[in-house]
Order: sequence, then structure tokens, then C-alpha cells
Amino acid sequence: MSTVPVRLEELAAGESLAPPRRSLLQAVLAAGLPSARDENWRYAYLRALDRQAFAPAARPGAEAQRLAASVLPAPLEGHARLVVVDGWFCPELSNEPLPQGVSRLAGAALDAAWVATAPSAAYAPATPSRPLAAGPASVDLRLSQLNAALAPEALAIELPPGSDAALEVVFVATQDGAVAASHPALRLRLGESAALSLVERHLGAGDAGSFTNADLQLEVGRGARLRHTRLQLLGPRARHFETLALRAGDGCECEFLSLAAGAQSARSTALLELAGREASLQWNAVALGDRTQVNDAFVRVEHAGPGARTRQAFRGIAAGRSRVAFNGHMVVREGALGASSDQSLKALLAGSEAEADVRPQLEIYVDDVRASHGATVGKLDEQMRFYLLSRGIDRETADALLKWAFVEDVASRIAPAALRHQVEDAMATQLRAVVDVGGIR
Amino acid sequence: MSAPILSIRDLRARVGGRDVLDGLSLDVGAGEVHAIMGPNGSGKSTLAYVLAGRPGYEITAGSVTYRGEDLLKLEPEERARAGLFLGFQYPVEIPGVNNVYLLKAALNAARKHQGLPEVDAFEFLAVVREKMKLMQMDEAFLSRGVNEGFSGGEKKRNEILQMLVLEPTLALLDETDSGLDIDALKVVSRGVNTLRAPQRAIVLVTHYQRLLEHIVPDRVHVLARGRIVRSGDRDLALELERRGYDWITGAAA
Ligand SMILES: Nc1ncnc2c1ncn2[C@@H]1O[C@H](COP(=O)(O)OP(=O)(O)OP(=O)(O)O)[C@@H](O)[C@H]1O
Ligand SMILES: [Mg+2]
Repeated sequence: MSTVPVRLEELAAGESLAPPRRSLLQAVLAAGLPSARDENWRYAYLRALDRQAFAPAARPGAEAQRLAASVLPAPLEGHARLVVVDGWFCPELSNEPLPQGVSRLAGAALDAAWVATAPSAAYAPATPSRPLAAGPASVDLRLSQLNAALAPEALAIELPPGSDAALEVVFVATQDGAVAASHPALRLRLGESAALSLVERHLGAGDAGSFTNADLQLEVGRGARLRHTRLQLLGPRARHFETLALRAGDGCECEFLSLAAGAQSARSTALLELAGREASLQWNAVALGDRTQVNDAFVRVEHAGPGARTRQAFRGIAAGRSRVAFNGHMVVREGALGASSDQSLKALLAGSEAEADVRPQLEIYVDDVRASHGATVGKLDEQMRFYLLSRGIDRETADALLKWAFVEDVASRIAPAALRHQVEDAMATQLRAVVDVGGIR
Repeated sequence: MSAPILSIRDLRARVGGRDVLDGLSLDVGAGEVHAIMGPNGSGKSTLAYVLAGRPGYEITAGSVTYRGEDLLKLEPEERARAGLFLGFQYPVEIPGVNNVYLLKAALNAARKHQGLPEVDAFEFLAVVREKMKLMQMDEAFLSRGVNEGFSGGEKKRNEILQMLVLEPTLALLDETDSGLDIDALKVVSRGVNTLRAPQRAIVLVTHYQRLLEHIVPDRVHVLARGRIVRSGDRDLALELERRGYDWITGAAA
């Protein structure tokens, strides 16, 4: 068990939190934060939890808002923008009026919503008024529980049946993690046959190393369609943790596409449950590490309903002295007759001191399953590199191109095109194709 | 002989622990087309790779002068920018890197080296389209990954397309004719012939006299066991076609 930061204990002992939150925090501390000895946390940079000031950042003032505004990307066509700064929804920077079904929750309403959208028993999030979840996955939920104890408010999105929406939620962290933390929370419920394009961004403002512990809980109803694009492009000193829990109903289609290229250390936990019949999930993830960055992701998919289908693709590049890890754990439950699971996990080692780990895991409790997985860790292809050099391309660009090529099959799925171009530019910068940033597309 | 573009003197090179080039000498003058023939495994591709600067090849003796400069001290990308082009025997597939992007980046790298501005996007496309027409390539190839899923013959045409766009001073074409159907051989030969010019030189590695009917060489060399064992005019190729290599390599042994 890692040493629990003093400041978290101070919060648990002090008067600043409302009593139910305080007792939740006490329970979290008693159970212990994840440690490197916990199965699914071995590659995460957990020292980022030490010496953090977990106290929630104050509601952003003019200065924080100005900082946040300065890093907002160009508006995304067709998407209404919602901005959350240091865990607080910021109407001044958001679309006005609020899109239908969007609200902010605080106090009792927040607690009630947590109960209402609580996913299944497998990933039941704790709420200030509910005890900690028990069971094997419980430590994987600990940071979600920590968020429940500390998030000042939550952004709630509730789309009525049959509706169609496109939203962009931008989380900006402006505070120095040594002073205050950002605990953003999002609760999403998609009604029957609703369709949502959701773009989620995590950005940093200012050069202070921020600390974030984000929590997203999604409930996707029967026949609904969710296309969720997640971009983590925090600044080079940021510490980032996030938990995403999903429960998908009958016949729904969920497509996730994430790119994580920022932060000094980032850990992403996804706990996904295909509860309904014939629910389908696509999980596409790209992670880029450079310098001494640590990027770790754990994705657990529970196939519970008959015919549940998952396709998972991960492409990670570890350059410099970075560490990039992806652990994809597929569980197929007794009831998931005819389920299918397909994993393609690939990492590229692009630095002599870099580290990459990809780990597919399958846990099957039913005979009638179609499951496949592939996992590789490789290096830049010398023949390809020489071919590019022999055409006059300089080394830096050749390497950047080959890295781009490595993630391209996944990254090219980003839609709409305007977003894909933004991502390509961000990646080109990350891949140091400074010579010709636009050319990579 | 005209001013030499390439001058190789007593070149020895090792790869994978084997001495493959064993005292090879060759001069190629401006405006000339030379053909190199020789048995499998004799060192033809090794020579091409050594000239292009592929890593893993150790030069143990000798010199290579390109337009009066020591070629061997240049990095592969510098050689390319200085006008050396290698058409690969086995062009490499690079999925995810766009074919037209590579063409443009390669051209701009060479232009930058010459102190020229980047090529205008419109002009560039016009030039590429014209060359593709000459190579009878569908424009769809532009948007595909470099050689990705190309057939053997399509890869070879793509090499020649790159060559035509880059207009190198010295082109080394390693078995560009192998894997081509009869019509494609004509197309590729036409492409190569359009590049013939007084200020350029072309070195063709080939196993077949047939190619030399379309691209008539000034000189023909036989490379065996790592060195040039015989040189002659185009009639040498005809003679090789009739008699094989034994009469030469036997004599050289
Ligand atoms: N990396 C390597 N390691 C070991 N041996 C090598 C390596 N590369 C080439 N060789 C050997 O060097 C010799 C010359 O090879 P090279 O490819 O130059 O022949 P070539 O004349 O081009 O033959 P071909 O007509 O079949 O294309 C061969 O015997 C080959 O096996
Ligand atoms: Mg060869």
C-alpha cells in the first residue's frame, strides 16, 4: 500500500468536507489507494499520488478563466462546447444557452444522480451515501471513489430517447498540483436510441504541474449510439488520473477513440460493461510517450449480455526514456453466449531507454465465444527508415513519419475531419516533425 | 570518356561477416548508361546499397568518388539530396506513409539542398500527373501508402515514378525490370530513357538482355565474386545471353 499523502488524511480529519463525503474519504483511505502491488496498477506512476494537495481547487476566478480561455482550441463544427475548469463548470466559456439535457449537479442533487446512474454491481461507484464497492475490481474503483468524495460538482448530460446531439467537453486544469487538485466529474445518460458524438479534451493552462483525478460515468441505453473521442493533451508537468465507467444496454453501439500524448504521468482506467444483448464496443486508443513521460492504461471489459462484441486496438509509442503501458482485460461472463472479443495491441519502442508493455488478458466463463488477440512490442523498421533516407528525407522526419505510420490505422478513424486534423497537428508536434508539421497528413 | 560522375576504385565491403565486394573498380561518365550483369549472389545489390549508404555495410578498402566528391563520407540522405537515386530490387512497403507525401518531401529535400524554395503544390501535382501518365499509373496510387499492397510490377513503376520526379544525376536501378510484364517493361524503359541526358548517368543492374534492347547501354559489365571481371559494349550482353557466365567466371577464378 502506498503511503497515503498527509494532506488527504488532513482532509478526512478536517471540517472542510460535508460529513457524508468525509466518511467516504475515510473509507477510501482505510481501504488504501492503489499501489504497485495491485495487479492492474503495476505500470502506473503512483508516486504522482504522493505529496499531492488533494484539496479541491477553488471555483475559478477571473485569472483562472482567462488562462483557461487562452488554451481553448478552435470551436468544433456542430459541437456545443462545455468547459470545466479545475473541476468546475464554467458557463462563461461554454455554449450559451446550455444544450438540452445538460446541467450541473452539486450537493444533494449530485448525490442522487450518482445513485441514479450507478452502473451495475460490477462497477458500482461509491457515492457519499453508499458504502465502498467490494470485490476484485474494488481497488480499480478507488480513484473514482476519491473523486466522489472530493468533486465539487458534476456535469450531467441526460439525453432523452431518440435525441441526437454533439457535445465537446473541455476539461482545463490551471492550478499547481502542489496547491490544489482538479476533480472533474461527468455523468452521462443516453436514452433509448439516442445518438451522441462526445468529444472530451483534457488540457492544461499555464506551466504549473496540475493534478487531476477525473471521473466519468456513462450509461448508454437500449439501441443508443455513442461516439466518444478522448484527447489528453495536458502540459508536460501535469499529473493525470482518470476513471471511466460505462454500462451499455441492449443493441447499443459505443465507439471510443482516445489519444493520450500529454502529461508527465497519466493513468487511465476504463471499466466497461456490456450488459445488454448484442451490445457492441469499439475501443481504439493511441498513446505517445516521450522524455520521461509515463502513460498507463487499464481497460477492463465485462461481456455480460448475449452477443456482446468488443474490438479493441491499441497503438503506443515509447520514445526517449518514457514508459507506455496498456493492459486490456476481457472478461466473458456465463450469460454472454456468442460473445466476441478481438484485441490488437501494438507498441513501438523508439528510445533505447524507453519501456513499453502491452498485455492482453482473456477470462472466459462460457464456451460459445469467438476471441482473438495479438500483442507486439517492436522497434522502428530499419528497412523502412533506410528507404525514406534514400529518398533524401532527414532522419528526424523519417522517424516521425514511421511513428505516425505506426498509429495511423487507429488515429485515422478520428472524426470529424476538423478534429482529426487538430489531432494530427498535435501528434506531429509530439513526434517532433517540426520540419513539416502539416505534411504528415 | 566524358567527365566521370561515378568513379569506384578497388572497393572492398563486408556485410554480415562476409567480404562481398572484393576490389571492385568502375567508372561511369556523364551522359552514359551502364549495365551490370552477373550471377546471383555476386554482389550487385551489395554494390548498389553501398553506394546508397545503407547501414550495416562496412567498407574495408577503396574509394568512391561522385562528381569529384568522396561519396562514402556522406550520409544516405545527403547522397540522395546530392542527386543519387537507388531504385530498389525489393521496394519497401510503408503502410501509413502517403505515397504522394513521400514524393513531395523527397523533392523538397533535394530542392532545399540546392537552395531552391519548396515546390508549388499545383506545379508539383501537375508534374506528378504527367509522369504518372508516362508510367501508365493510375492516380489512385498517389493516395495509397508507400508501395502498400502494390503488385511487384507496380512497385517497380513506382520506383521509376519517384526517379522521374526527382531527376537524379546518378540513377542506380537494381533489377527494375524483374517482375515486369512485357508491356510494363516497355513503359519502364521509356521512363528511364526520358531521363537520359548529357549531365546524368544511369547504372542498370539486370539479368536480362531484353531490357537492354529498350535501354541501349554504352557499357556492359560483368560482376562476379565481388569485382568487375569483364566489360564491353552492348554485344557483351548478347554474348552472355548465348553463353552464360561460365566462360568468364571460370577464367576469373
Ligand atoms: N546481410 C547479409 N548477411 C550475410 N550475407 C549477405 C548479406 N547481404 C548480402 N549477403 C550475401 O552477399 C552476397 C551478395 O549478395 P547480393 O544481394 O549483393 O547479390 P546480387 O548480385 O544482387 O544477387 P541477385 O542477382 O540474386 O540479386 C550473397 O551471397 C548474399 O547472400
Ligand atoms: Mg540483387
